[in-house]
Amino acid sequence: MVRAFLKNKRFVLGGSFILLLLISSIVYSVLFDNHIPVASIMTDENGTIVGKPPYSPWVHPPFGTDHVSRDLFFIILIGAKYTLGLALGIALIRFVFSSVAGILLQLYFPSFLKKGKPWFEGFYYFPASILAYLFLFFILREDGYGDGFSTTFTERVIFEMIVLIIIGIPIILINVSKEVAILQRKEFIDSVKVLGGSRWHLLTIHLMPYLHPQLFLLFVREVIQVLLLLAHLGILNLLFGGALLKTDMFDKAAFVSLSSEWSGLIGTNFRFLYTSYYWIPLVPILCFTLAILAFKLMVEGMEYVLDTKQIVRNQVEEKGEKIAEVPSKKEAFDYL
Amino acid sequence: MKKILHLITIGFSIILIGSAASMFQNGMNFSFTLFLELVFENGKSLINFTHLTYESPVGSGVERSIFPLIFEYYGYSLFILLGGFSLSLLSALLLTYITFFVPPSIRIGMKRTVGLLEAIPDMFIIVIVQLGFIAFYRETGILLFEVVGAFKRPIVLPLLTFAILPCFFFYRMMLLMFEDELTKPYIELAMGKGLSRGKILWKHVTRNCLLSVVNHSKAVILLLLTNLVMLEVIYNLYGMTWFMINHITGQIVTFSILMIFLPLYFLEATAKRWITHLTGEEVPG
Repeated sequence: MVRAFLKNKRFVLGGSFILLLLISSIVYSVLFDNHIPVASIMTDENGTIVGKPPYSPWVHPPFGTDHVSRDLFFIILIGAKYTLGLALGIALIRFVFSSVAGILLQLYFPSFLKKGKPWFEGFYYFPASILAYLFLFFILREDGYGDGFSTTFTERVIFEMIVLIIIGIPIILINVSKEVAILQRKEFIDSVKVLGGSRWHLLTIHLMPYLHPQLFLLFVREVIQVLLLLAHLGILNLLFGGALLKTDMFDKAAFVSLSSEWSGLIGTNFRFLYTSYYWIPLVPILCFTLAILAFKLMVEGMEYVLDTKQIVRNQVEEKGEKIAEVPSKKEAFDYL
Repeated sequence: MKKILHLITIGFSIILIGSAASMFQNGMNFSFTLFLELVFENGKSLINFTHLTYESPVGSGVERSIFPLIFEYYGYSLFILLGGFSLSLLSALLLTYITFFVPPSIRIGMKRTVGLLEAIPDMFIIVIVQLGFIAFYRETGILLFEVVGAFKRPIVLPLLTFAILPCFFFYRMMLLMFEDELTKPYIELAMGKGLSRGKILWKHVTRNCLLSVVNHSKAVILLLLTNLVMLEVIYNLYGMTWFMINHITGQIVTFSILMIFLPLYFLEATAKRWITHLTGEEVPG
C-alpha cells in the first residue's frame, strides 16, 4: 500500500516537504549547534546608516529579522524539529491508544461502545483549544507569575503532552470504531463467522488489510489536528512547557519561549501583529500553514489512491471471476 | 424521551469534562476524590447558576455576578455562529451551482484546490483578512466596515471572516455529494423527461445534499466553534469564548459551554427531523 502511495505525486510532494524540513532542522542543530545569525546595521560605502533592524522580509530575505535582529529564517529552521516532532509524537501516541481501544471495543464490546457513545459526545461541543487552555493555563502560566514555577520544566512538558494526548483520544476512538463498523458490514465477514473464524482471526487476517490504509490516513489527519491545536495554544499565549520570564531590551518583563518552537514564536510575538513589524508573528503562522498544507496534500494523495485502488481491485476481481469460471460437469451433481 | 435522555447524558458529560479540566488550578496533583468534589461543586453551581461570579478586573479579587452581562456576550456569539453558518452554507451552495455550469476539467481543478484550501488554519485566514483590511484602509483611506472590537461589537467584518472556512468545507462536501448524486438513475430519468439542468440541481439534488450537511453536523459544529474561538481572540471581540478565555475557571467554562451546547443541540435535532421529513431518509445518530 505504501508503494502505491509513493507513486502519487501529491503524497510525495507533501511528504518530502515535511521530511526536508525535519532533516535540515536536525542537521543544522548537529552541525552548527543552533547558531542564530544576528543581522547588523546596514551602512552604505560612506558609512551612513541606511537601515536598521528589524528588517522586513523584503530587505533581509527570506523571512526578515525579529525585534532583536535575529534572523527569523534560522529561528524557524531550529524550531521546526521541535514543533513537527511534538505534533508527530502526540498524534502517534493518541492514535495508537485510541485505535487499539477502538478496534477492540468495537469487536468485543460493541454494545458497550454504543451505550458509551453519548458520554463522549461532550467533546464535540468543547473546542479543543478552550479545553486545553483550561487544563493548562494554571500550570503553564499562572504558576509562573511571582516567584517562578513550582514545577520543573520536564514535569511541565510531560504534563502538557499527557493533556494534549488525552483530550484527543475520544474523538479518534469513535472514528476508528466507525471504520471498523463499516468494514464489519461487508459480506465476506459473515462467511468468516460462519466458517468459525474467531474475532481475533477476523481482525488480523481479514480486517487489517482494509484497516491499514484507513488508519494511516486517520493518523496523518490527526497530525494536522495537533498542529492546529499547537498553533491555537500559541495564539492563546500558552508556550510549550511554560515559559521563562526574561527582561527585554526596555527592561520590561517578557515571557520567552524556551526553544524557538513555532507556537511559542506566535505567542510571544503576537503583540507585533498590528505594528509595522507585522511579519514577526506572521512568519511562524505562515510556516504552520505550510506544514499543515503539506500534510493535507499527503491526505489528498492517499485518499485519491485509496479511491482509485478500490475501483481497480473490484475490476480485477470481476475479471478474475470470469476467467476462473469452472465449467460445471454434469457428473458432479446427482439430480433427484 | 430517548432524546431527552441523550441530551442529559451529553450535558452531564460536559460537566465531567469541565471538572476534569479544572482539576489543576492549584498545581499538578491528581486525585479521584478531588475530581468527584469538583463534579459535585460544578453541578451545584450550575443548579443555582444565578450566583455564578467572575473576577473583574482580572487579578483584583473583586467578584461580580455574570448576570446580566453574560447575555450580551452570549447573544453576540450566537449571532456570529448562526449568521456565519447560514452565510457560508448559502455561498457554498451558490459556488457549487456555478461550478456545475463550467466545463468538467475546471471542476476537477476546483475540487483539488478547495481540498487544500479547506485545510488552511483558521487563524491564518483571520490574520490575513485583518492585515489586508488595514492595508486597504491605509492605501485608499476608505473604511469599508467598522473594525473596532471590544464593547462596540462590529458585525460585518467578523461575520465575513468567520464564514470563509466553513464555506470551503461546505463547498467541498457539496461538490462531492453533487457529483455522486448526479450519477444516480433518477437524474437520468429527470433529464429524459426534459427538465432543465438548473431545475434538477435546485429541486432534487440540493435537497438530498442537505442531508449530508446534517449527517456531518458534529464535524460542522466542532469546526464552527474552534473557528469562533480564534476569531474572538484575535479580533478581540467580546463574545462568549472571549469571556471564557479571559475569565477562565471551571465553572464559567462549563456553564458557557452548556449555554452554547443547548441551542445547537436543539437546532441539530430540528434539522434532523426536518431532513427526515423532507427526504424520507433517516439520519443516523
